[in-house]
Amino acid sequence: MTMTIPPFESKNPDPALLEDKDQGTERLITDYETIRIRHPRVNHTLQILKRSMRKRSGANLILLLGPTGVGKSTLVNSMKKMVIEDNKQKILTDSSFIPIVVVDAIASGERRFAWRSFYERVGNALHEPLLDQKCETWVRDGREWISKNPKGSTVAALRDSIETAIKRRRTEILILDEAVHLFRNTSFLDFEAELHALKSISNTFGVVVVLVGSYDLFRIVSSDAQIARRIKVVHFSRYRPDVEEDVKAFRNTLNELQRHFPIHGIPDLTKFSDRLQIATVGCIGTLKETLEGMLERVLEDGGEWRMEHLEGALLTKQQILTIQKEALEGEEEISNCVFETGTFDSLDDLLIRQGRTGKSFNSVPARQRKKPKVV
Amino acid sequence: MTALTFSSEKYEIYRVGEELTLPPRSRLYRLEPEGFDSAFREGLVSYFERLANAHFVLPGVMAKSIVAEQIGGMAMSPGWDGKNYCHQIALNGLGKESVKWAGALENLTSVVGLSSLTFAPLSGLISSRGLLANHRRWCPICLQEGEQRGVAYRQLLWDVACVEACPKHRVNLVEQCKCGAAKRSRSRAPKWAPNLCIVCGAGLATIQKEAVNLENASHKRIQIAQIVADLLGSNLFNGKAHPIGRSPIVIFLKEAIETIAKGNSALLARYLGLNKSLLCEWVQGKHLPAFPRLISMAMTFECGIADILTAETKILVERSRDIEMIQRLRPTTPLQTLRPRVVRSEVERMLAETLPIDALSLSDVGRRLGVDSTSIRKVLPDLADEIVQRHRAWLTERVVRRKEERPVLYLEVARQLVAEGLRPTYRRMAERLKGRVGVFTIYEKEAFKAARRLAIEEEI
Repeated sequence: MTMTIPPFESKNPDPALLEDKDQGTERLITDYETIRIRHPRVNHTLQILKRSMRKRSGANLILLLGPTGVGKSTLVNSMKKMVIEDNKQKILTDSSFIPIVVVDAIASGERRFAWRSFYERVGNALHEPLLDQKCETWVRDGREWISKNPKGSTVAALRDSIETAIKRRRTEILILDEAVHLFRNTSFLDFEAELHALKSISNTFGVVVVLVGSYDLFRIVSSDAQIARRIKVVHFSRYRPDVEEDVKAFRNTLNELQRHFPIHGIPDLTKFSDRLQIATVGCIGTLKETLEGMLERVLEDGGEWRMEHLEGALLTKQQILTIQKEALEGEEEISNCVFETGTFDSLDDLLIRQGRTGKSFNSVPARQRKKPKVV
Repeated sequence: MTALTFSSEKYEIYRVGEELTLPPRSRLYRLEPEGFDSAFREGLVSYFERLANAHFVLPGVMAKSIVAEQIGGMAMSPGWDGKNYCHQIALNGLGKESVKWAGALENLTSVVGLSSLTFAPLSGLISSRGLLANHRRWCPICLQEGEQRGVAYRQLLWDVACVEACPKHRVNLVEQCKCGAAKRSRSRAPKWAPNLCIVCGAGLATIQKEAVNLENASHKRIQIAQIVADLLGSNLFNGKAHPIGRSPIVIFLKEAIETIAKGNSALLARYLGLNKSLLCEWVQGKHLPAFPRLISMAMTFECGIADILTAETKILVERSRDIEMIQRLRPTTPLQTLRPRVVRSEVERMLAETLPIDALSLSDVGRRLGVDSTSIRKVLPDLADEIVQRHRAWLTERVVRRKEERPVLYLEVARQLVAEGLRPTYRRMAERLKGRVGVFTIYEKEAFKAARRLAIEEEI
């Protein structure tokens, strides 16, 4: 089914805003930056994510992968919105219920991942009070004792309290954005411990842990065979220039975004859609950033659009090549692991291989395999 | 400009600020109280301790940092002792503090009806005198059952001073952990939990069962516990029944005087085993009966306390036949009907027999003779004076003797405790002295302190 949409028309901004070079321009740009779009790929990926989170689908650890700038964080926000809407009634009746928690696993700048900071962030998201006053309980000679660190909570105490908070708040989904920071620069033992800590949270309380990141996250996590078996990969892919449907969807998204430009006088950019798709590697997040850069330049030049404004906002050729390379390699790497992409035809080479050797090719113990170094 | 064609997929545009966010969440977990709406409901102190444990913080810290904000007023001042107050049984009482704490916890957890974990619903209906015990008691079997279910809690029933038995398991409540608690350490503290000893951290359910020989409670104790349990399970606590007016007890007693004692309050006072003036004060609404008196009334009228507090006067009709019994209850016979000479010889013989062992008061003599003591004073004034003088001398001598004996006894007990590695606290000593000393009062604090000091010094 097809339908028509009205042609592109940008709004007339308040002339006073245009005249005020500092504050007015800033406000127009900031206003445009807050705009988000739910394009077809977002809806599609959300549906897959929803299906992968069903209890009967097995794994409680999900990797949400996509190239840089594809809009993963925006997707996470949409996910949050969807879960809240799905649990609306329960949320209203039970004011302690927090169905979904989204946390950024920020890089601490240390050699090892800062679990304390991470648990504190999860605790804050779960509305957990007195995070600096948590106590550890231990049993000796059949007696229960409590010890409180005068300098603050210990990591073990924080961990216990967060696990309980997940249980008590009946949290169903824990999303860790930029999850690659969890594992980057860690030794193999630390890496295993961190993965198992996540698995433990997931298994003990039945919470679905979603790790969000680019393809290098997959390279790290899949190096542990035990974890790799239990993990599900959901791919938030870019709009590929060699797929007709993707080209069409990219153009429509561009059209929708340009309809919300805060100024008029900008020509229809859909005529540059093919080139923009190449320049942004088909990533809507990058496209949005490019359009924002262009708008900024236009406004700085008094609202008159020129081609240089768009070209000036584009990524450099080197940047595009790097992102493209990463995206292509990543797509190739995960092609056999993505959730709901299995076919019988894809198993043909596996059958041949098993026939030759007589045993599974995946029989090398996990510890003997070398962990790939992440750049 | 030509119109574009595209598939019917949605292109929803929204702004970052417009995303659906969670409405305000409760600050603390929505922890459901145990035994809610039943006779075995949890006490507020137990609930608070469980809530703090669920959050992995000390109850005192939670009280000071979170509850104080909600209570406001005095609680915000630096001198506020919420840290200790949160463990006090008084929090389960019917005072304003109980109402404030329950309200604050309701706001923090969004659990409704937490005030029914205290006696606050009976505020204005009963007196706080003799209501709550001053130390923790528990039924080990109930605690064990709770542990097996995964939630051990302390019942509000156990905090009532008159209740000395568990009506469910018909055993006496346990008052002290007998697990050989070590001294409190500075570096570590026992976990505050309803099922743990607050001194040593030992489980009260498992350890008590091995160390304490659980005694079956007497019939009277079970009866009293059952009466209080019925009150806790009544609609008064659940907010389904509301008392009539401000003083239902006054209405009930007035009706009792009319129905049972045919308007004679003195007769009803005798029926209830009370002083007439005390009954009159209740009827006039000057003050409310103490809780033990209410239990006693309920036992006499064979009704529940809730019936008295809701002025359920129908039950009094059944008791109206007791009027004949009340009249028979006159305890003394006028002495004038007896021959004074015989009585004198009888009294002299009795005094000669008993004085070396024990001194009788004038009331005791009257009771033994089956006559009124006032009558003895009227008919035999010289002998009555002699009895009173002897009794007074005996009392004085007893006080002097006790002053000499008590410190020695205290020292002996303190030495025993120190030898067992226990700190000789007031409560431990009181426990050991039970049965050996009639009254162990706080007024003897100096003697007790001296004994403790001496015992510790000797040990060092």
